[in-house]
Amino acid sequence: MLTTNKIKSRLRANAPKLDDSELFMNDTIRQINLLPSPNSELQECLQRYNLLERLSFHLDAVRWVLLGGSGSAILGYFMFTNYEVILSSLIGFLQIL
Amino acid sequence: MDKQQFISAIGGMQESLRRFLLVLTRGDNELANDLAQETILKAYLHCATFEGRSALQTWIFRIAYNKYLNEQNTYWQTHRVAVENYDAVDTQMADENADIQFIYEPLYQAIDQLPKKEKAVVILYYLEEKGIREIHQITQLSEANITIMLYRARKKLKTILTYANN
Repeated sequence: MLTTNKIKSRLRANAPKLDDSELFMNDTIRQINLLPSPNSELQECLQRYNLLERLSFHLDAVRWVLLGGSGSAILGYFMFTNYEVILSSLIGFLQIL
Repeated sequence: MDKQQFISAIGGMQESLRRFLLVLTRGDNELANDLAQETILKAYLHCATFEGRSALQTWIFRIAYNKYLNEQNTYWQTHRVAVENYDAVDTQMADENADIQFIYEPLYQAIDQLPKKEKAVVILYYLEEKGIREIHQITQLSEANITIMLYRARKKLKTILTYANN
């Protein structure tokens, strides 16, 4: 009968032998010491930069919506009243774009 | 968690981690140590993102398990061998660096014949004595699936061992 306890004890009794633990840890610690700290200033800077980048994307979107809206308003206001104004605002709007 | 805290926490769990990988890699000491070291270095670099939703050891085992699966996929992608030669290559690879006594132990031999995920679940449950919930956190398999896997694995192991004895 293959019971849970039998499997556990048999696996434990015949578990593979590990290499020298001290050697493994010394080598691992040496490699960790070569790595930058996970909380380094560089990481914090990168996080801040990422935040600024996202903020500037949102500001850009707001700016374009405002410009588009005001351009359309000017066009609508002067529509069919003064061709010169319509033309100049159209050119101005295109320049902004 | 600073560097010293991380190193002392890892020191206490490195044997369990290496043994888990050693059985998964069929006794290949060199490969198991490489995977264990890569796991520890990755955990160290990302320890600022560790949120503590599970125990540190569970988190480390999860990284190790994923590393093992990736390594297996990469190995078979780069060493395309005919299906009939899989066993021969596997045996040759392991025997070069392995603890021979462990490799020829019938129960370990039987476990080695299980599919990769089932094998990992069996080792975690029986050898490392992890609970179902913890195994779910490590392997991302559902708890129900793990219970079924363990039941099936036990049946398979019994069949393999009975067949080997006769």
